Amino acid sequence: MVEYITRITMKLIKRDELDTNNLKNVSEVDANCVRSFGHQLAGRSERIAGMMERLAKKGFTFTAKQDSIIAESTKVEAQTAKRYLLQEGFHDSEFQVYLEYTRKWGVL
Amino acid sequence: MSQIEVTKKAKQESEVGRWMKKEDSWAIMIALGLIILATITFFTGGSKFFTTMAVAIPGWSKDASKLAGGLGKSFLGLIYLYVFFTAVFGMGANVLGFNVRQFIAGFTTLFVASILVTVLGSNTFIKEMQLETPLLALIIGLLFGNTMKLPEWLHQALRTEYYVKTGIVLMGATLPFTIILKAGPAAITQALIVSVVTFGIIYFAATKLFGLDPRLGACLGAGGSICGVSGAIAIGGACRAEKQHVSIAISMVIIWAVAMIFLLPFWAKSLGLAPGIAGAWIGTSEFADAAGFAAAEAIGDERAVKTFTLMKVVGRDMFVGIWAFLVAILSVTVWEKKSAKDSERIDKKEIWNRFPKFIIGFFIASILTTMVISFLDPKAGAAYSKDIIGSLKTLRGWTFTWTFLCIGFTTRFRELTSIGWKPLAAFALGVIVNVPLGYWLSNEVFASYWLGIK
Repeated sequence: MVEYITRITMKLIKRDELDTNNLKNVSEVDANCVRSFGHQLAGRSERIAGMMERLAKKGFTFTAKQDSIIAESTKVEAQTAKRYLLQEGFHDSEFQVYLEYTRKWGVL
Repeated sequence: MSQIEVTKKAKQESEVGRWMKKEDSWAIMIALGLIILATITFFTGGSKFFTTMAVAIPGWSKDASKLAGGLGKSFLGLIYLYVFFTAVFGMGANVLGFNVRQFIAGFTTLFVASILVTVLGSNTFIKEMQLETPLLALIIGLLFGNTMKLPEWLHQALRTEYYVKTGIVLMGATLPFTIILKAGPAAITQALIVSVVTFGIIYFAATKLFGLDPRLGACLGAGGSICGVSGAIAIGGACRAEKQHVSIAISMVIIWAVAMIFLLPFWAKSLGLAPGIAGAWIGTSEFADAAGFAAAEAIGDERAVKTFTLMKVVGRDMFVGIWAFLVAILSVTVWEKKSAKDSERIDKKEIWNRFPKFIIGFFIASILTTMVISFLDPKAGAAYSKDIIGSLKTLRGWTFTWTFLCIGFTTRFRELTSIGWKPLAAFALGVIVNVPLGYWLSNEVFASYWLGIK
């Protein structure tokens, strides 16, 4: 009766981290802030790459957005994908799942 | 052009492309396009095309000569009607990725069937049997859809949602915005009471009484309280329900929605309800837009269709995004037993993403025609109401007839039976409360609002 697309958003850059590293507060920014932010970014990129590798095994395809990577599948249900990522050692806060159902032909 | 500009342009194009691939977008474009064109021709003196196209089949009894005369006069109008809607729906079908040749063949069949049904529905004897055109279309569709295998090319044109959304936007043009503003708060309050109570009962029954998965409970609750299949789909997506959960909820909605198309108008007429109250009750207690329009049209009075639309579209459909957002938060915190800090983040965009976009078209249509009338002097305003709004009302009637035929053709009872007794029982409990509560609110608490809609 329905078709679906499971979409997993993995944020490369998070706004709150820009705040905590003082990068948005220009008067206080220094080289260490940028270096620290760079380390965080490298760590996050590595985690996202890891998620992508796991999801690729399940047949997900990927597109890049301004600040995130989107993984999509029409074969893996949202809960299955989420359970799989958690089992693989990733945390809820590292991704966002969006599930979209659409009616198949002719449904009221 | 810089790299940033190229990227921006590509992004914009892909967003426009995505927008064009949605049924809601085509329903808005077709209906608003029609309203704008008709309005322009009113001022330029070329509205004859639209008034001719708005064919109303005359009533007839045993003497078929009146019918033959009426059909003869309307022949050119029927050709216009067929050509216009085949062209615009066909264009949309092409972009939406349907097989256009098959769509046109299917739509042609649907169009011929709609004429036959409307002719039958205009017969005084059949009308006396309480078989208005919507019910007749539904019965004929159900009969064919459940007893014979329909050809594949016909399937392409059986797009219930495509036609009903176009009809709803056209409905906006016939509903003054002042009425929406006046009755909106009553509709929203009544809908909120019924939605919360019905959702709560179905969800409680499903999870606590029958031990079903909370996600299935939420899909059933949404289907029975918010906005039928659209509600079940939106909430199912928001709480990451399994495909099976959503399918069960849709089956429940279809079974009850089809039953209510016959039951609600029958009860409303038996209880002698005023059309405005009957429409509000149907808007509160029907489960799907398309089915609700069939039931409201079966009352046989425009006031019932108006109050139904206010209740269903303004009161219920509009809030599906907010419901989805709340259920999404519930699913990642309560159901997954996690604190807000540890749970997955839910984006506020969820509200907009799940919002049924055709409602925007409905509001624009209403604002547009209300503004036009307010700028005209009383004489010209009356002419605009008669020629343009009157024609749009008739055209809306045709889109609904195609909708009702589609409901019939596509509802396969055999395919809806494998759902198990527990979801059926949970949903039935919701119906048992929803229907009398909807009656009481429409007929007692908010009666003065609904009686005031002319």
